[in-house]
Amino acid sequence: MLDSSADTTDTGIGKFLTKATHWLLHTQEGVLFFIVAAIWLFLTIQSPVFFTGRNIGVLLSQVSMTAITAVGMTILLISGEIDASVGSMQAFVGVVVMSVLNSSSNLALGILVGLAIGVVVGLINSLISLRLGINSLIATLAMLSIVRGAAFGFTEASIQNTHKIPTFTEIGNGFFLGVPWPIIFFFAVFLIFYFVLSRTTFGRFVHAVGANPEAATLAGIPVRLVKMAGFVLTSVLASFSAIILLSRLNSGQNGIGAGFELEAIGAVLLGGTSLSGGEGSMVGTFLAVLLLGTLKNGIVLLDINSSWQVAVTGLIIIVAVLLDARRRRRLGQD
Amino acid sequence: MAVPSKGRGGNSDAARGISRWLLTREAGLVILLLAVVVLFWILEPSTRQQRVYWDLLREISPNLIAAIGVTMLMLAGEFDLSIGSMLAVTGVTTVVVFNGTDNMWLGIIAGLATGPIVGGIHGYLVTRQKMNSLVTTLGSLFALRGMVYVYTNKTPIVDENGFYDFQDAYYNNLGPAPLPFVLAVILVVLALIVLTQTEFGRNIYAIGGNETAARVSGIKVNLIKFILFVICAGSAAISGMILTMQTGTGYFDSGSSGFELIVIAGVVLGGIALSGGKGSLVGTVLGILILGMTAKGLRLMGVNTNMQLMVTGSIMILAVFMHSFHDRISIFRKR
Amino acid sequence: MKASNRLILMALVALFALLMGSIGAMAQDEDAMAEADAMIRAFSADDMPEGWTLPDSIGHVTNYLVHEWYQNETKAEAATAEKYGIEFSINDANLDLQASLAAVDDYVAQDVGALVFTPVDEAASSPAIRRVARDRTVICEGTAVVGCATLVAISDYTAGFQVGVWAGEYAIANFDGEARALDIGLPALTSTVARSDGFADGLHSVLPEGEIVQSVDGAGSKDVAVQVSADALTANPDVNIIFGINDDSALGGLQSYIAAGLDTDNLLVVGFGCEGIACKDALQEGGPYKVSAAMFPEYQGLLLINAAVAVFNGVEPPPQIYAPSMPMTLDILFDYYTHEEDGSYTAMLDVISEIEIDIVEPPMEE
Repeated sequence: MLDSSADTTDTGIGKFLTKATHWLLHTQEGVLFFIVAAIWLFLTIQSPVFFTGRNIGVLLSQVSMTAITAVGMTILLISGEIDASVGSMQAFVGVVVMSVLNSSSNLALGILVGLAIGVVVGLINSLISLRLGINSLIATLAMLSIVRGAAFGFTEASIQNTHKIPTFTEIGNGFFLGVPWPIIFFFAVFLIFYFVLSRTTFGRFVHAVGANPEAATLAGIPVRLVKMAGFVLTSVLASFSAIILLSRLNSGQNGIGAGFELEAIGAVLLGGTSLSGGEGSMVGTFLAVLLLGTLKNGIVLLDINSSWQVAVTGLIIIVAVLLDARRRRRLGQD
Repeated sequence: MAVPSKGRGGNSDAARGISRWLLTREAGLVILLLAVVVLFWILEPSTRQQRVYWDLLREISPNLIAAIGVTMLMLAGEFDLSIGSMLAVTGVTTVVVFNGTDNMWLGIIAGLATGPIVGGIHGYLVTRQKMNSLVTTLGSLFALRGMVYVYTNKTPIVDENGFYDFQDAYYNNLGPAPLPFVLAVILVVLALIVLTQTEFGRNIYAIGGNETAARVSGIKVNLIKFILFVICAGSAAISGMILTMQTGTGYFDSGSSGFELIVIAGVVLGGIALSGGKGSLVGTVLGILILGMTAKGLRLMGVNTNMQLMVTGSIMILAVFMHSFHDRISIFRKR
Repeated sequence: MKASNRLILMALVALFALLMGSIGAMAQDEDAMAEADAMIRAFSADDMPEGWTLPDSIGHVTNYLVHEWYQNETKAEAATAEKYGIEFSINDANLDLQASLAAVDDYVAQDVGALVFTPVDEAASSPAIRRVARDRTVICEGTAVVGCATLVAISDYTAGFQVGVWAGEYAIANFDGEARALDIGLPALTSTVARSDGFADGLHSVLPEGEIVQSVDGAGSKDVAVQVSADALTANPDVNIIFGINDDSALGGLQSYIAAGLDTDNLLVVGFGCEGIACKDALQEGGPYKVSAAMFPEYQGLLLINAAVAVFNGVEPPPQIYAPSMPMTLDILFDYYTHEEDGSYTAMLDVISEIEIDIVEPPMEE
């Protein structure tokens, strides 16, 4: 529609510009990009430390946990399901992995156990949602309570780091070629699944399953298997986030991660992924995570009362969704 | 099937009615509720006294009232996640106006007015701007809470006048029944009448069942949804008012520990479909009662909070599984 | 005119008399209260005042049992209650005000002999507590609620002040008198605000040019503390003191400092509470975590049960029974705790009960 109306020049630059303008003006990603860019510009002017390597490093490290979980959540939401249990996973995986590390002093074993918990919880989630036919929001909200209970049941007090494995501390705090490890993990996970979602058969299946499960079934797509993969993937990535967080905190805390699920799901929805499935964008998720992280960072840098953070986060979500809704209506009317 | 066969007495009609009722969603919930009550009756001696149940009804009144609005909204296929933050908005507004005007009634009116105002904004954004209600109200969950934090600077607003009439209303009784519960019952009955006996109520179900079809058949979808958002935030404001009576304070963190989740859990447990159009308010009431009784029983037994979480989570899965099982049976029966 | 003047005069005289009378009464009360205070600390299961009866049961409504403070304190309460033969139970509100007030009702339904109450919010709990306290012993823990018979708590301001002084002296000895502190606070609770205020005033009392560079809200939990302090430390990388309103906040700040790649030799971390393993282990590591305002939950638990038993027997308690606190450092850690083989620590209650309690009053607000 737009390609025909815009007077397309055949030169590469012209094409690129048309495409870029379209992206900026007509997609949720573009809207988010605008907002993020505006806030970054504002903060750069307001605070001398904002646009420095160190601060950007801190900012991206901080959001890497939410981002890694949100990558899985994006795929799951596109397939038409949701996982609200990822918040409690941060606590449960944390306490279990720390105690495994303490008793075994084996880093690989600890990480494997952590990821295995992800697989198991993902399987349970998909079993309840897909086999018992319970709406996944409800099923995983219940799992949110159950996993939190399991964390408390596992240990009453927080579990301190007594193994002192140096590599373990590096996961959340170390650098590789000057870049913090959490950022490398975050970008790697993002790029891999961006590719999976947009270029592979699995990615096509995910979209098809979410858009219309009946049609997907008729087309011979293994609907349940695809959704199950989404559940397990989300849960495993949530465990991965939990391991990074564990390394950053240096102790297994069973009270943490409350509201983490809202942050992750909120970011995915803000990124333009539809709740009803079939539609979504990994880049949108990335930008949304960045936006929410920037708000937190900026409010501390400018030494604004932290209460504003909650209010501004809410208002930005509303504004972003409003802009997106207006964009959709405009496209609909064109 | 509905025609009673000739020559049979009224007795078997009644029996048939009962057996038919036993196959409904509500019957399953009543049985579940009774099971919970009986279980605690056996396990925990202190639940064998009347006062525990009156306490329970007083305690769950705010949840019950908020659940009315949430149910009606969800029946039409929309959500409001911001009800927890509404409690704080109402409470803080009420007490601030108390202190500013020294007038109890002005405070109550101002506090209650916050509901329709916020609901109106939600309604406008969703029906006019075509915004997704779940994400929009997720935004206002943070926005409202944040504004309360900023305004109060996270300090509770204390009622300087000490309006004891206001505070006592929470603990006072009408006969044996706690006043907040009486209010909840009145509101539930009103809502039931609206939902089952009026055109408006039927239209809500129609919209939730198939919005496009409802629109085509001339139902004013946007207007009805707008009203439902107002009702939902309004009922949350009434809940907030009750909590303000209980605490005599405008508390900035009121409802921040997952009030919306508990209420929505109760509503879903009661059989309201997340996709809208299916379920009844009676189910919601039972759902809230089941969750409330479970929490109370576990507390009385001194079970620690984490185990409480696990039990509540399991009950939710069980109940919702029961509903989906019931749906499959009724589809089977229709065939 | 005259009549009205006379009336006013009479009223003034009456008021004056009342005032003098009440000051006199207050002085008398003070003596009585000091006596009651000493008595509450003194008795035990083996040494009970004559004629006393014991409540059958005591219930404690906690606000956040996840925190190690409450776990250790309730363990001490349970142990003390067991010595008296009192049934002790806990109900945790998990930071939910509604659940907290419901738990109070539940304990009334169970007819507990005495109630220990840790509020989720002190103002909002007051109407409920006033009702219950009419015919039942209610002891507040940590934060005062109008209606409670008494409060058992440390003086948060004093404990903050003491570690503030300690930090100031440390800065004079080790940082050439330079103190640039990051305060990881919790503005939602009056008690934690008092801790931050006390710390700042204590620091300034020995080092007037010492500076609180930034105050952030760490929500009292380690994950939030790590996050906000990481941001604050990028804005102020020259911070050389980190103060946290509890050990999780302080340790979270330390964690961010390390992650930022800053030199820990130039850092002092000041914690608060020292109730758990985390603080005691950190002190022994010999790193920048050198001091924490110890609050001794093991002893506070004992005080709570004693206060409940005394009030149950009609003793008029003072408004607050001060629990001991002091700056805990590695040098003195093992004067108060023994390290067990399984890694846990046992408090020496006798030594802790001897700690002198010297209250520092906060300056009056203008």
